Amino acid sequence: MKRFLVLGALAVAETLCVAPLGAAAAGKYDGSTPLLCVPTVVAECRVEGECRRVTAESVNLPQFFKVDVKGQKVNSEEAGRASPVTTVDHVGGNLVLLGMEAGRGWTMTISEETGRMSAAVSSGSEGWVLFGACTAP
Amino acid sequence: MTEKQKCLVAFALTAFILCFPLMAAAQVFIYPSRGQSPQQEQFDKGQCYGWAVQQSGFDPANPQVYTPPPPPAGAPQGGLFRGAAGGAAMGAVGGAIGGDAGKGAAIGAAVGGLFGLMRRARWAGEQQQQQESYQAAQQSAMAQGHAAYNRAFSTCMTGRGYTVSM
Repeated sequence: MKRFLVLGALAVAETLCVAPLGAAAAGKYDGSTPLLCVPTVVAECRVEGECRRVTAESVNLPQFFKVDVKGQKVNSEEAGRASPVTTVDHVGGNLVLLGMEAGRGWTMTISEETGRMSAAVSSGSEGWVLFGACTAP
Repeated sequence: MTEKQKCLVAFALTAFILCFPLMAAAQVFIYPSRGQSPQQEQFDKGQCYGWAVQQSGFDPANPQVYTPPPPPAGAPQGGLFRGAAGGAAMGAVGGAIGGDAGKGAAIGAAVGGLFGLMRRARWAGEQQQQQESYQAAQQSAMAQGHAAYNRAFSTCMTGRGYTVSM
């Protein structure tokens, strides 16, 4: 009986405390607050069909950038650079951003639950695929 | 022989002595077909050396050719202007889509492109390849300079009554 009461108390505690936290965590990276993202893997592909892993620095990409959905931009304050976001959507638990600049198009997908991020930047003769993670600072 | 002529001969001889190894390397054979004296021949060679350098723009005693240097590692391919201008234009487009073209343009122009300023990485082996092609271009330009100089030198010497063969 005592054991049953303890289990019941734990279940109630979980319902009251943990479940709401879990629900909040699911939307933690939905863009309601700015996200700080780090590209951990960058691959460069060229028109000849070859792709290679490169560093962010070698392709002139800042190590960190901020995704500001409300401000409609992805920017790096340190580098003084920003790209405008043209489209924002929420699809299948992902925050999806689209943009274009300087003859290039880009798309970024961030898991609203885990913060995992991937992005693709494409131009006429080369393209980059980024993988990384975002956090809500 | 007047003092002026002596000076000219001395100048021609000096120029020839300095340039002789290069002239020899250029493989130009000269025969004094009008019976010119060796002194006259040296003088004419000195004169033709200066004229050929002037005409061809190539000095075999100081061989220098200009070929565009290979791009330095990490040079942006689009350039800052392209990024900023493109950023402004695309920012305006983005803003227009979002209903505020001015705001979008401001975002793009004020700070330059985050993704628009990305550039190609220098892949391994690529730098060596560029260096090799640069060296090949240098050698080719050098050979062209030599050839132009030789043609000019031959023309001059022929005009002064020598039979020239390359």
